[in-house]
Amino acid sequence: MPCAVPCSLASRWPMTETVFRLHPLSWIFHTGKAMEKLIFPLLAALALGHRTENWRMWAIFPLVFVTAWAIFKARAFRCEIGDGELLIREGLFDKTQRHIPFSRIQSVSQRRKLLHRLLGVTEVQIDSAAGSKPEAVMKVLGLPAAKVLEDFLRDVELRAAGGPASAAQPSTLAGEQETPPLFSMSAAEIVRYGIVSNRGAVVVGIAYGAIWQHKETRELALANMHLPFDWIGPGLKAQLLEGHWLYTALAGLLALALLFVVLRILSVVLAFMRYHDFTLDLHGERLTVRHGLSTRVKSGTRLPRLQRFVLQEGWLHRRLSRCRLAVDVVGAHGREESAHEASAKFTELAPIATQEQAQALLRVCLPELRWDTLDWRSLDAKALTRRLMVKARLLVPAMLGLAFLDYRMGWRVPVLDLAIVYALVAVATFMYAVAWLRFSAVAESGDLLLFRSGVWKRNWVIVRAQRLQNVRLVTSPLDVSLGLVQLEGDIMGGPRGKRGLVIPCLSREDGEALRDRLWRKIV
Amino acid sequence: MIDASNGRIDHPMPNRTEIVKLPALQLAWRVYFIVWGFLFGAGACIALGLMFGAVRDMLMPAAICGLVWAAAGAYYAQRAFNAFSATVIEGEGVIVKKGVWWCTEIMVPISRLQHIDVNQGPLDRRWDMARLSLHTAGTHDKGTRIYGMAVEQAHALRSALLPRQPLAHD
Repeated sequence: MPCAVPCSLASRWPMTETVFRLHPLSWIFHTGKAMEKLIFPLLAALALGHRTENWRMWAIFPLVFVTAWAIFKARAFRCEIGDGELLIREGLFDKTQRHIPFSRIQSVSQRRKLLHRLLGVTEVQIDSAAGSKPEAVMKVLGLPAAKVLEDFLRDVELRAAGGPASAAQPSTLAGEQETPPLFSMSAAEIVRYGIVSNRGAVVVGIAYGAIWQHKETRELALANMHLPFDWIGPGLKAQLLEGHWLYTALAGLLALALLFVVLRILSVVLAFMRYHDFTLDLHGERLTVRHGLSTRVKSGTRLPRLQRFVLQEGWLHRRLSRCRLAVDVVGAHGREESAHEASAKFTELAPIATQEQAQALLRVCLPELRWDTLDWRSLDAKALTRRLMVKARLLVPAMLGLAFLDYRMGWRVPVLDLAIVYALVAVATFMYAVAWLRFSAVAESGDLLLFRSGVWKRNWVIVRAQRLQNVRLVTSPLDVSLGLVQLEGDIMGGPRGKRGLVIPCLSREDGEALRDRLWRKIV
Repeated sequence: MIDASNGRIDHPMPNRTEIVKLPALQLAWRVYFIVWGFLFGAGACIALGLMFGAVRDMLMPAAICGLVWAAAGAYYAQRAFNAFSATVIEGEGVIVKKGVWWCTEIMVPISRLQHIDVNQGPLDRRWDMARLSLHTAGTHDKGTRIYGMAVEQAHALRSALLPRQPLAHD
């Protein structure tokens, strides 16, 4: 399929101007939801000659209108490579012109769903640091055009990064085919990822939500709602009345375990959909990641654009001696894809990797990091009191409430049993706090600040001081009484609803000293 | 020691000058917290009255409750005013301290500033007061605010903070 772009022109850069237009088939992707909702009922009505649902025949008029609109809209879209910036023009009646300086482009990503792949096109998205929307979404470009655009932007970045790159460019390009990928995942690794991830549970949750949203499925669900209660209700009641609450608890645990296994199997399937053929490449400073089975995703960014590294190791990870290396890149944050759909955002260097692989990746990205010689300093000992008091705030009222309920029901669970359970909860809480405090620590290495924490799921957050946008010291009333502070730092494109760097429970002197050291590195 | 000419207080540490809070800020916060305190206290009582269908009986308690909350608002406004301070570190950045019970000390480096807004509400205009919003590229803290500056001082600080640094990227 020829692209509507003078590709030959574009490949002969440096030049001053190249115009990119959308692929002739773009309108298919622009009609979007309207088409999806109408086309199948319409086809069904036409094929089966269904007379009762006449409105669907009438729907053909808006459909034609939507299609015509999409065709014109796609034709009106232009992306020009100007002097130092991308110029995007779009809109039929209300025309928009957007200038995106090359230096503001944080990442370029491509996403190809099954339909895109069948038609040989791709959706290109350009992100800058600004807020919740991507800077430009080119829906859709022909593959050659996308390649030209991507190569062009990479070349610009290389020039910006390392001076005159045009001379070095041919060698980089020649080397591109030969260099082995920085990281890739085998099928066995993807299975491990599926076992560790809880994506299956997320998808089931979404499906559950979807059932309640649609009228037909909701009615079906409501009609059959009594079934599970019919199955387990009588047994449960009998057990509770006879005081066999231990058996009940055991049966509940077994059921949970079964559910866990089923969800993990689903997770493995989803992991294959998402991470099949995962490859991470590094050319010069440019990182590119490709993955996906039906939806192919390709996204790229530059090494200096990585804002924060998080090495994660859950309990299951440790059983399989694996970990996950996630990164934060600036980009469209409000536009989170639904969980089952592969997002084109650059979020991880290695979804699952051995510690050695993760360390090797970190060495590439952060050459100054000396992991083995890090001097980990633990948090203040008073942190234990703080953690326990925070937990007690919720636990104590809950325990008293349950005990009161039990009393009102005539001590169904005997006092002694209740006391034992409560003692166990208290001991577990205490041990958890001790374990948290024992593992949590701060380290500095040159410009890097590291904070590790967690008990079951361990996190190592690595932030470069230059990436911090501000530094905050926060104290709650509890902190004030214990003489503790919490150090926080904000980064570009950090996690949702949380700052990129949060180090709780530092003693005031330590916190202030650390803050001042960070400040010196920032300014 | 207050230097009346530039509206800043000398700071014990070198390079640092604390920005003078206009007394009008105290007044503005009092008005704000007293009005909202009263509305909250009275509103809660009226809502209770509506729930039990006895709004008339609740008018007196609503007035009392509103006054109590207004008094609490006045107290909080005083505490908040005392707790708030902004200090400029020459050539480096700004420190803003705020918070009564949950205290925060925010340090914003000049090199991370994306843009600075000078805002004025209707009351601010009456008192020749402005607040300065320091915006960085951070995802979470988009704007750090300095309240209660004189308008000229706010504009002067804005032009002193911004042109020094060509936008640092990456």
